[in-house]
Amino acid sequence: MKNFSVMTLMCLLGGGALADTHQVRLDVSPVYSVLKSGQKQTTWIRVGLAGFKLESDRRRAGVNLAIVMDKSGSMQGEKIKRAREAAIDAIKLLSPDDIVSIITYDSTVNVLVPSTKLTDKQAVITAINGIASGGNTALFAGVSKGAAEVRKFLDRERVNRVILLSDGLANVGPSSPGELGSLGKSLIKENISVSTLGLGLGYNEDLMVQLAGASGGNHLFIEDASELVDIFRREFDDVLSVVAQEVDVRISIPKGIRPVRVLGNDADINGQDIVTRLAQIYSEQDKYVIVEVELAAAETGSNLKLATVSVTYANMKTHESDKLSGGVRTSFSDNDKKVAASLNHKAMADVVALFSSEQNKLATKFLDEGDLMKCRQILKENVDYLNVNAMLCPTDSLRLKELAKQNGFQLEQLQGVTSNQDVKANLARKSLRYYQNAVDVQQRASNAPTLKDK
Amino acid sequence: MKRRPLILIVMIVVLPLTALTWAALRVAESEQIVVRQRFRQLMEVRLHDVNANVALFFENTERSLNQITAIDHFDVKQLRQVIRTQPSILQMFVLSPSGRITYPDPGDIESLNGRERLFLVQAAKMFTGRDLKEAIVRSEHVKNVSGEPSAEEGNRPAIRERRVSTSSRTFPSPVPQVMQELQAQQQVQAPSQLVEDAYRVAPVQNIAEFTESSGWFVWYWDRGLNLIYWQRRSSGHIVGCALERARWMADLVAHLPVTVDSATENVRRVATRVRLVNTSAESVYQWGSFEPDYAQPLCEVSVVAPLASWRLQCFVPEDQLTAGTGRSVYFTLAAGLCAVAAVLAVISVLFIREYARDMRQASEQVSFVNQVSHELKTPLTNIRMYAELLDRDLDGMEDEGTARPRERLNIILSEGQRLSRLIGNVLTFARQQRRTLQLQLGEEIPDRLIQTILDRFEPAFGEQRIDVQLELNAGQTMLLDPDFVEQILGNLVSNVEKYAASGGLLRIESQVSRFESVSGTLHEPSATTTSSFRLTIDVIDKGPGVDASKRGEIFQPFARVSNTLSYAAGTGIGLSIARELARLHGGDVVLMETSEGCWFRVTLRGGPQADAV
Repeated sequence: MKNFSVMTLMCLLGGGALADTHQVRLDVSPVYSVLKSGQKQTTWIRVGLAGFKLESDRRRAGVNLAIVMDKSGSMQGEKIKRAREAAIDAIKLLSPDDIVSIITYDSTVNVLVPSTKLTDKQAVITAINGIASGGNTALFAGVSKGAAEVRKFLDRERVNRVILLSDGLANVGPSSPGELGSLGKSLIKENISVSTLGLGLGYNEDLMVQLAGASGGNHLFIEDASELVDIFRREFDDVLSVVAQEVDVRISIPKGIRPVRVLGNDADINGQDIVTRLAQIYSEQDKYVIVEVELAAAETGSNLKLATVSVTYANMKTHESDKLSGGVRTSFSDNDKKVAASLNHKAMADVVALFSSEQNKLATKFLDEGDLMKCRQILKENVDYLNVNAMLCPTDSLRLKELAKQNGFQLEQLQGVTSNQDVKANLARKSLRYYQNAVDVQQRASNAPTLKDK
Repeated sequence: MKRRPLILIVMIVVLPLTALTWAALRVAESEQIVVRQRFRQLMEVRLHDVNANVALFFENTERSLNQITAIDHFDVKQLRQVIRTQPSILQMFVLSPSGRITYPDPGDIESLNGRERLFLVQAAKMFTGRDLKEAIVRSEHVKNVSGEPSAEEGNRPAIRERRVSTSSRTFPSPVPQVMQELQAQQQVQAPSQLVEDAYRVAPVQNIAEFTESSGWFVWYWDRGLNLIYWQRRSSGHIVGCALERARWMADLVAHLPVTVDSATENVRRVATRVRLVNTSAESVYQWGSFEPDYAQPLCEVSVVAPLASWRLQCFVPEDQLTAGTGRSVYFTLAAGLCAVAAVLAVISVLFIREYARDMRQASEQVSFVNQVSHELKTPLTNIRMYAELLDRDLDGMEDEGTARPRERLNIILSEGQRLSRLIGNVLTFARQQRRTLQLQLGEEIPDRLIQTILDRFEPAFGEQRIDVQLELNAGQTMLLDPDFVEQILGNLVSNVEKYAASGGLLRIESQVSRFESVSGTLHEPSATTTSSFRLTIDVIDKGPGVDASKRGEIFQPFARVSNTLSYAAGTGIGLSIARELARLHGGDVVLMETSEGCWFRVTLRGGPQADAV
C-alpha cells in the first residue's frame, strides 16, 4: 500500500548522448503494474523496442537484395508491365554500393541478374525490360534461388532481403504454406527476410503470409497492378530504413510464474526462458513482444519480479553488436481502483491489437468453413472490441481505431456474400490475412490505398 | 487393248517402289531407334553429372553437419543455441549409448519447448515404433482453433491447465469475449503422458541401425521425406539432427542449374527439361527451356543416397529425337525413291514403245495375211471349180478305173473347202476388225443349207468315222445370209471334225420358231402382223468337251499378234467369228450346258416370211 513503484529499467548500456540517439530503446512493462491480490490470474508483459531515427541525409545501411519476379502466364499484360516498372523504379532508388540480383521464374527459374554490386544500373534495367511472361509458377524454386543469390554476399552490415512478387498459386515444386513458412523460419536464422507482394486475387495468401511472417519480411496485398510501383516503393522505403537487425530477445520468467505463450511472434519457450528473434527494427518503429504469463495468488502489498529481458541486435548505424537488458516488477493490491489506474495504455493497446488478430484468424477460419454468419459476427465483435479498447487507451486510440476500421471494411466486404467461393470473399480473405500478418509481425509498410480508398 | 499395258506399267513402277519404301522405312525406323538410344545414353550421362552434383551437395552438407553435431557435452542450452542459429537444422537429438533418448528428454516434457515436443511426437514412430501422432492429433485439432496452420503449433505449450478466468471484472482485461469462451472450451488433454510413456516403454528401436560412425537416416513425416544426419561420438553417444525439409530442398534447388534464357542460350544446344521428382512423383525442381507435353521421360535415374527414392528425369522434344540423322534419312530415302521411280518410268516407257512397235508389226503382218488371203481366194476358187468340174467329169465316166482318181479328187475338194473356209475366216475377221461386215439376205431354206454344208464334210466324216445324226425341222423358206450360215456352221462342224472326232458322233438339230414383232401392232393396229422367224441350230458332239474354266474364253478371239499365221487359221478365231456373225444376224452362238461333249446352239433371226408361203 505504500510504494507501488514500477521498476522499469531502460537502456543500461551505451554511454554518452551520441550513442543514445543511435541505440534501440528497450522498455519492458506489464499491462497492469499493479495486480489484484489474492487470486490466480493471467497478465501480459510487453517488451518494447523502439528504433531510433535514421537521419535521411546520413549514409544508410547497405542493401543486399534479391528481387524474385513471377513471370508466369497469369502475369501477362498489365501486371508484368507494372512489375517491370516497379522493379526498375526500385533499382533507381538504390545506390551503386548496394547489391542486387534479379530472379524470374515461371515453370523454371532464371537468374536474370546474378548477385552483383549495382555499379551498372542500366544493364540491370535492360535485363528487367526483357522479362516476358509465360508458363507455370515455380515459386519455391524462385525463392530458393533468390535466397541463394542473397547468401552469396550475406553481410551482417547489410539489409539482406528477398522481395517476391507473385500473382499466382505455386504449382511447381513444394507449395504448401507450411513448407514456405519453414523456409522463412530457416532464412531468418541467417538474417535474410522475404517480403512477399501478392498481386491481384489469384495468389495464395496463406503461403505468402507464412513466408513473409516467418522470415520477418513484409506481406503486402496489391489488388490493382496500377498500385504496384507505389507499394513496391513502400517496401523499399522499409528496406532502406532498417536501423537494427538480428534482434534476439531473451525473456527470463522467474520460477513460480508460468509463461503461457508469446502473442503474435514465433518464439521458443524453454521452461522459464523465452527466446525469439525479430528480423529487424525500422527507423522510429515501436516493436514489441507480448508474453502472456500466469501468476499464482499473491498477498496484498507484495512485490514480484515478472521478467528480466536481454536483447542483442546488430546496429545498422554504428555497425556494432549492441546489448540491452531490462526487467519488470509488479506489485499486488486488493484495491480495484489502484489496479485499474495502473493500466499501461501502450501495452494494453498492443495486447488488444494482437488479440484482435487472433479474433480475425478465427473469423478467417469460419470463412473457410463456409460459415459466413459466424465470420461476420466475429468481425463485428472485433470491431466493437477494438473501439471499446480504443476509448480505454486514449494515447493509442488512433491505431486501434484504424484497426477497427480495417475490420469494419472486411466486414462490409463480406456483407451479403453467401459463399466463400465469391470473389468478394476471396478479396476479404486476402485482406484478413494481410491484417493478421501486419499486426503479428508489426509490419510498418501498409496497403494504404486499399485502406483509405474504400 | 491399251489398258493392260498401262496397268502393267503401273505395277512395274509401283510394286518395287512400295517394296523399296517399306524396306527404307524399316531402315529409317531402326535408325531412329538407334538415334533415340544414343540420345538417351547422352542424357543419362547428363543426369549422372547432375547426380554427381547432388552427391557433392550432400557431401558438403554432411561436412558441415559433421561439425555441427561434433558435441560431447550435452548442455541443453547449448544444443538449443545450435538449433536457433543453424539455419538448416530443425531439431537435434542425443541418444545415450544404451539407446535412450537424452535430448530432447521425454521424461521432462515440461521443460521442453514446442518444437522439441513436436519432434518427440513426430519421431516417436522412428525411435520407438509407436505412432503417437494419431493419438495426439485427436487432442490437437481441438486446440488448433485460431485457423493458423500447424507452424504456430510449436509456439504453444502442449500442456495447458484450466485457465482461470478473471472473475472480478472491475478492471478491463484485454481478452476478448469470444476468446474467453473458446479458451474455456479447449480443455486439451495433456499428451505429455503419452509421449513419456511411449519413450519409457521402448528404448530406441533403430539403435541397431546406427552401427557406423555417421550416416543419413530417411524418415517420412509431415508431408514428406525428412533427412536426419547422425554421428557416433567416442563416448558412444549418438548426436543427430533432423534437417529442416524446406531448407535443404531450397539449398538443393539453389545448388542445381537454372534455366538459361533462350535468347542468350547457345542456339545449337538442344532444349531439354530436367526434373527432380520426389517419392510421389511430384516435381520438386526443374530446369531447361523445353516444356514437355508428355509424362514419360526419355530417361531417368535414381538420385544418390540419401535421396534414393527421388528421381531425376530428362525430357527431350520429340522432334529432336527424329532430327539430325533421322531427318537426313528421310531425305535420302525420298531422293532414292524418286530416282528409282524415274528409272522405272524410263524402263516402262521403253517397254511400251517396244510393245507398240510389236503391235504395229503384228497388225502389218495381219494386213499382209489379209492381202495374201485375198490374193489366194481367186486361184483357190478356180482350183475348186475345176476340181468340181473334174468330179462331174468323172461321174460321167462309168469306169472301174475312176475310183482311185475320185478318191484323190475328194481330198483335193475337201482340202480346198477347208482352205477357203480358212481364208473366209481370215477375211471375215479382217472385215470384222474394220467393221465392214454386212448382211446380205436372200430367201433360203435352212435345212437345205445345212445339208449342203454337211455334204462338203462328208468325206472327212467318213474318214474319221463320225456318225452324223440329223434332225432337221427347218424346211420353210426364210430370209437368211447363206454365207453367214455357212461360215458359222462350217466353223462349228469343222471344230467337231478337228477336236471331237473321238466322240464319233455329230448331231445337228434345226428348228424354226415364229415370233411377232410388237412395234408394228402399236402403230398400225389394222395392219397385218409382221412376224419374224428364229432359226435354231444345235451342233452336238460327244467329244472331250470344254473345260469349265475355259468356257468363258472360247469365244474370245486371240489377243496376241505374235501368233503365227498358221495359228490364225486355226479355231482361235473360228468360234469368235461364228459368234460375231450370228450376232450380226440377230442371234447368237452359245455353249449349252451338257454332261458330255459340246453343245453349241446357234440362233439366227430370219427376215419376214415370204408372201408365197
